[in-house]
Amino acid sequence: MLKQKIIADKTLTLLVLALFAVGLAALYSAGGEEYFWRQFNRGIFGIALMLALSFLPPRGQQAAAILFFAAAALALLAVLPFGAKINNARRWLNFGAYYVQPSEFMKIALPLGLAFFYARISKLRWRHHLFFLAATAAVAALIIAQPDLGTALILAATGMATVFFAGIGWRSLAAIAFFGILSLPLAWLFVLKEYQKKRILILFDPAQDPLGSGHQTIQSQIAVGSGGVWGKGFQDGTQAQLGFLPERHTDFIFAVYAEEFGLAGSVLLLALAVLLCWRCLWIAARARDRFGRLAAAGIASGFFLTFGVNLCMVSGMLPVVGMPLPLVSYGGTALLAAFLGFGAVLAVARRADGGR
Amino acid sequence: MSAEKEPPVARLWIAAALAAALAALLIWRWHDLQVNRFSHFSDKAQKNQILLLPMEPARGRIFDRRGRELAGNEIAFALEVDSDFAAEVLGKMDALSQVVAVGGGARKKLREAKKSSVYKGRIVLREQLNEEEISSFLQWQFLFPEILLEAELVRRYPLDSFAAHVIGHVGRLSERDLKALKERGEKKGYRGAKFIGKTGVEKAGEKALRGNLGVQEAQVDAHGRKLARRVRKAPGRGRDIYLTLDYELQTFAEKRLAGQNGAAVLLNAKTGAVLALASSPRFDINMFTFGVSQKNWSALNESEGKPLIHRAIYGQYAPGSTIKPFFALAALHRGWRDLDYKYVSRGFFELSPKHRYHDWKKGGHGETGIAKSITRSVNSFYYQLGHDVGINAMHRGLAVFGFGNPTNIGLDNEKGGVLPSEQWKEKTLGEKWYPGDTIAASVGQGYFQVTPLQMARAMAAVASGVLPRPHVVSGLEQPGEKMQFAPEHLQAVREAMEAVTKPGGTAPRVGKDAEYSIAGKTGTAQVSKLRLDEKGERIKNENLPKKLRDHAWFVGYAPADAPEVAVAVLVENGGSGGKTAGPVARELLDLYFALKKENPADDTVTVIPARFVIPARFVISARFVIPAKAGIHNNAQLAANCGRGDGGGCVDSRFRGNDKLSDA
Repeated sequence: MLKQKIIADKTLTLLVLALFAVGLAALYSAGGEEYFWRQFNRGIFGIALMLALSFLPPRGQQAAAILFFAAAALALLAVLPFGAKINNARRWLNFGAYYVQPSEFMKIALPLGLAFFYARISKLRWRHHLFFLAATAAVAALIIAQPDLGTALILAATGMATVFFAGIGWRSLAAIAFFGILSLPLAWLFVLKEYQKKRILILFDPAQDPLGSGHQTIQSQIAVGSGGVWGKGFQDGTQAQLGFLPERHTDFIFAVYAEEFGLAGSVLLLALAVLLCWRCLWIAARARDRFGRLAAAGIASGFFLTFGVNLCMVSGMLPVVGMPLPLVSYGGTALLAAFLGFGAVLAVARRADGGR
Repeated sequence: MSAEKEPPVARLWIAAALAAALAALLIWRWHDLQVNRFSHFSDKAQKNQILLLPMEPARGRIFDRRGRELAGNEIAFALEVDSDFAAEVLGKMDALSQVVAVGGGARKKLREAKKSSVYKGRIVLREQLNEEEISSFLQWQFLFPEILLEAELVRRYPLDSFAAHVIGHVGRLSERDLKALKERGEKKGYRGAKFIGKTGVEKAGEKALRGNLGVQEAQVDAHGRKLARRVRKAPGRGRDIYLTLDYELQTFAEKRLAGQNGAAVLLNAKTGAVLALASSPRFDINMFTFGVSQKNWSALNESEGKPLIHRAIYGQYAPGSTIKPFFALAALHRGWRDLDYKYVSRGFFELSPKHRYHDWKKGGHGETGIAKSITRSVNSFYYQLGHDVGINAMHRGLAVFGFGNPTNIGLDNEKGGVLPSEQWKEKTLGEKWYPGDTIAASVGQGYFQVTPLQMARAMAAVASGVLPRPHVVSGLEQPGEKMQFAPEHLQAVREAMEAVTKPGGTAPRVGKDAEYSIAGKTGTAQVSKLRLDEKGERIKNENLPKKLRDHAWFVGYAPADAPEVAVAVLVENGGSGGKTAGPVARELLDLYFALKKENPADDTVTVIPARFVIPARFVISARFVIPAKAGIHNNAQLAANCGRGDGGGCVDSRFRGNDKLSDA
């Protein structure tokens, strides 16, 4: 066996580490040392796992992909009856000391699973695409039932992106978009819960409920806006430090970051994420087979969609949904899932590099 | 491989471009927030030293009709911590437990909050601190800057178990309560609330008692601790509720029934205002406020007397002979019998040679008209009557007295009893109606069931000619239903009932030496059917084990010539009505008239003594903090601020309404 490089793709690895480091800094400011060290330790474990995954040979990658997908699907099924109920939703499985959120893993497992099946079809027809779209919808429905509309939508979008990369015809795509827009009023009437509608309405007028759901939007916009161009400085953000921001170390961590590092810091963070996404797409373009291409591109879209939607939410452009900022927010499941995903992309990159 | 045929790279380019577009959109938004509107948000952040917090309104109190407090509020202290500091506080728990006793549940909650990435809000470490614990904590508070000593108003029932079933209780606001509030669109008023009325008047009057949330501004320090506070909108105090219950009468009825299982009802025969609604045994309602301990809960449920059951409105018993005056009135009204009708009682009624139904007097009562059938409680008279008209006619005739339906007294958990009919049996039991069922029903046994409250109300209908609407909250009077009986029919039944408590009636002891006249009827609700000993003789009640003895009824009204109040007393396993239930009713009536003599003007109209009116400027914040150094003075400051607040002061308009009362 020939000697292999430890780092399969230096650029990608550096970008991941940089983003994680920025996240740790924001977490230190938002949650203090306690949260910092716990996230740090998880990160070390996650990075090791990521690097180890990158050594998987092509066949091993596919076997791991389908096993991971099956496990995530089972966990998702189990969470509905057995999940721990927190804040009126069953999203977590309780393993003694650990709470695990299966839908976070699904964001990685879905593109991997789709890539696995796509790789096994020699002649793709439109009905294949349709079937995979239906499978995506089924997984999303499981998450809507938790209920967790935000994650379900991200997941549906990730699955659709993977199908898109697999080459679904433009006409089918147009038809899906048409029916999708057509069904929006139906979703408003039948699928959305009262609190979800309220969050959407509050987006247009946060002042109508300043003590409730509008509170987060108002406070996070104040935090972001008052950061200015250069920010208030590390640990000097009054919004975060005085406790006006709820969930500041999890979903709303970007507000802490933007307040303390301003527009400059925000653009830097966003640039890191865009470059990370682009690097994954670049790896996908150079992948040797369909599995590699779809896996890398699907994971990249899942990552960037989550990242973008979270930033939009914190910046007051989208309603408040439960969604962490990947690699940055405090939370074990999301962090681990992110590293697993980039591990898979690194494994694809290693084969693309020259097939050794 | 077909990969070459597909256009992978082009689509990846599209995705890359979309990502860039989203990034551009975000940067455009941030430019707007952080550059264009920077000064606006910067200004807001500067001023944002102030959090808006909900202020709990003081819950309205509950009084008896003379203004005695039955439910009020008291201040209780709790230790709380924001979930962001769960980890720090967890490390100090050993130290804390040396200062104040803290349960294991607190540690568990802290550990969960520490583990979870979800913000949990305030975590309560300990509730209901006593004075010693408060001073001990204040002494050592500098060690625990994260822990807040919070005060809140907690429901207190000063009379413990008095009218427990009527008052009901508050309890912790549960997920289920929140869901119900959400459905009614009332959830907004419960932000930050801990308690809600769970049963009884506390539940029925929730809307009035609750009051309106206030809003306060609080200045916050880095620990999330509130330093100075200012009332922006004062909470609207809950409205006080006055019950129709009379403390003296209710207390007497409860004490008189103590040691037995039973119920007593005394109500105004014209208005339906309930003066006493006692159920025995009772329980201390205070233990429900913070949730009943497992031990107390099982003790309450497994106790033989089932104290949680409100026997006066939820207990259903066969009316027995107390049904006779009503059946007689129905028979006269519908022309089944007239005032001259005579029946000859031979001691039994024979449905078939095998099925004989007996009178309580061996050999029978002889010639019996309507009056005697009531005064002497002649069973065979009614066996014959029921047999002649049939169950469905009987059902129609008795329905006008309100049997078979709840009285809608306005309390939860009211039962409607059973006024049987062929249809009812078919529907509920899926069985055919037998002629023997009719015979049992015509003397108030078998499937027939009523609540003591229904019985008192039906008595009031005979007394006043109007079926009143019973209520326990004053101010809810509604006109009753006029009865359609001919005056001479009513007169006949009333006179017969008056004779019941005179020598020659079935309950002469009840009327003995009374300064007023009592009309009434005794009754016995059969509990067990196996009443024959080895020789086939009927066993006497006294010789049966207590649990199998019959329930005793006495129902009536007084004074017989000018009725004011109706009464119903039921003593479970009390044997004969005249001996056990009758004296309770008599003593209750005696007390009623004695109280009336003391205070002749007091005619069941609620009187509010001036000393119970709260000064209009009084307001209490439901939650305030005692900073380590400032001590309790902060609260006084709050009260002072409240007067000059720009939100219209501390008193809302509804609360000002009380000024009028103090003039009265």
